[in-house]
Amino acid sequence: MPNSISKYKFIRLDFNHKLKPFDCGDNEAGIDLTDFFINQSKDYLKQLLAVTYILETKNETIAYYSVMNDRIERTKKINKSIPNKKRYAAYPAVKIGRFGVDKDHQRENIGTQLFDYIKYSFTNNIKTGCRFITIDAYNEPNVLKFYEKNGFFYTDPEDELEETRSMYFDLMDYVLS
Amino acid sequence: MALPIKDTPILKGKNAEKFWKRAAESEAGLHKISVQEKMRIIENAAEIEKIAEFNK
Repeated sequence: MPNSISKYKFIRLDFNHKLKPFDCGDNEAGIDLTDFFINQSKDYLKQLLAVTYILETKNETIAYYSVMNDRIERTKKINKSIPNKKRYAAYPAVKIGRFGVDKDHQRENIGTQLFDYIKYSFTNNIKTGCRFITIDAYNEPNVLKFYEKNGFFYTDPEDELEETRSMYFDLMDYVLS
Repeated sequence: MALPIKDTPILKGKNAEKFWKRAAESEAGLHKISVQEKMRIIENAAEIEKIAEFNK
């Protein structure tokens, strides 16, 4: 069900922007996402590592995500059954390094709306090639379920026991539909 | 201190083969999303573009 997202502002973080209060919840992922936003998002910007986009009101942060360039690559050996022209050594990607919705606004479909915007924005009027969206997702059932629902697959089954899991969405599935 | 953003792993072996096979299938149109989902993406993106204060 569409929410009234039109009442919010959607901005790109700059150094002069005053961050509004944000609380992503009391679980491990929530605490970490809050900490990243409050204490590290400007550092990542300063170091030219990630740019953060923020959905907010005058008084609070509703949601945010941080994006950075990425690639999905493989070691050189690969099965020759895959056609030559498809065997690139690497694909360009954009990584959603962090993505959080304030605890008071979770379950309002805001996360899916933002991901839809990300999918659209990296396939329309783009300035560089980008085949995949990758994410570094907290290894928590509700988090992984959200990304699975939004069309993401696991990049590497071997990170099953780590704190975060690498996942990807193939933008080709959107472009060709 | 928040966890650092982890690098995307370099794929190897069967995992790499599985990934590249799916990528080739996608290029052949075998994993297209539904028309309804595509419409939802376009509509949601349009709503957010209206409130975006950059690129103006």
